[in-house]
Amino acid sequence: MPNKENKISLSNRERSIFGHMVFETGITVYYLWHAIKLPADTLLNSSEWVGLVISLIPIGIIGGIIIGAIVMGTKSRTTTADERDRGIESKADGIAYRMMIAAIALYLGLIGFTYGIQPDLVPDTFAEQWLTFAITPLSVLNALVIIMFVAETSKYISQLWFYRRGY
Amino acid sequence: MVLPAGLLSMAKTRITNQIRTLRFFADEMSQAVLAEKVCVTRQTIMAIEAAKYSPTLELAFKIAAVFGKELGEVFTYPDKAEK
Repeated sequence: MPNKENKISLSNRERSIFGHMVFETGITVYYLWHAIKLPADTLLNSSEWVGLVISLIPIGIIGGIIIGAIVMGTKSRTTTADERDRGIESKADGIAYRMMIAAIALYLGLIGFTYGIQPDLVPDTFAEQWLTFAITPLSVLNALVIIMFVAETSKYISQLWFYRRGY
Repeated sequence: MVLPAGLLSMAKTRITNQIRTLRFFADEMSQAVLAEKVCVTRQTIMAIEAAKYSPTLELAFKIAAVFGKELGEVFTYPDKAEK
């Protein structure tokens, strides 16, 4: 006879992690969708970029409330993290930091490689396009947003993975 | 997409426990009640019972105390001969 208590269901914490992941994905996609349309030489104090950032605030608040309500439902009881939760978060943080370091190294490496380490190996047209894109303030910021998003998402996925696995 | 068998399963820890049996004899105490008594989530108790997570020493003592047992009566670690 199956044990009812051992039936695997999504715990509050897993639902919360999933909700955060969906929320952050939505915000990041919204930002990048609009930021990529801006000219590469847009300054970070320009009205276009500042307007985009300001528009994120109400969207973030409203989106957060909606996703919070959907994910948590009517039973919005919050439980404090226990030792297993903290252990899982710690392991997931480690994975996220590694992902972040790898992504930053890849980004800087691509710039360095294109700039001068082995310029002959990089087609000129690609190098021109890449460097024009890669070293403007907006592009660097967008790259950092993508890197942070990759790191955060890998953290959430790792946490869900560890929770499903037990630890 | 089919996930490889065992992808989500985790190697069990070598620490075994009698929590399930002790709960049964403690008036069929539920995992939720035990979790509340030792201030952890039910999922943590479930993971400990399934030997997927080794509790800290402090939590192990707390669980043993709930059943009024010594630590060694609740948790056991196989010695070298049993490896």
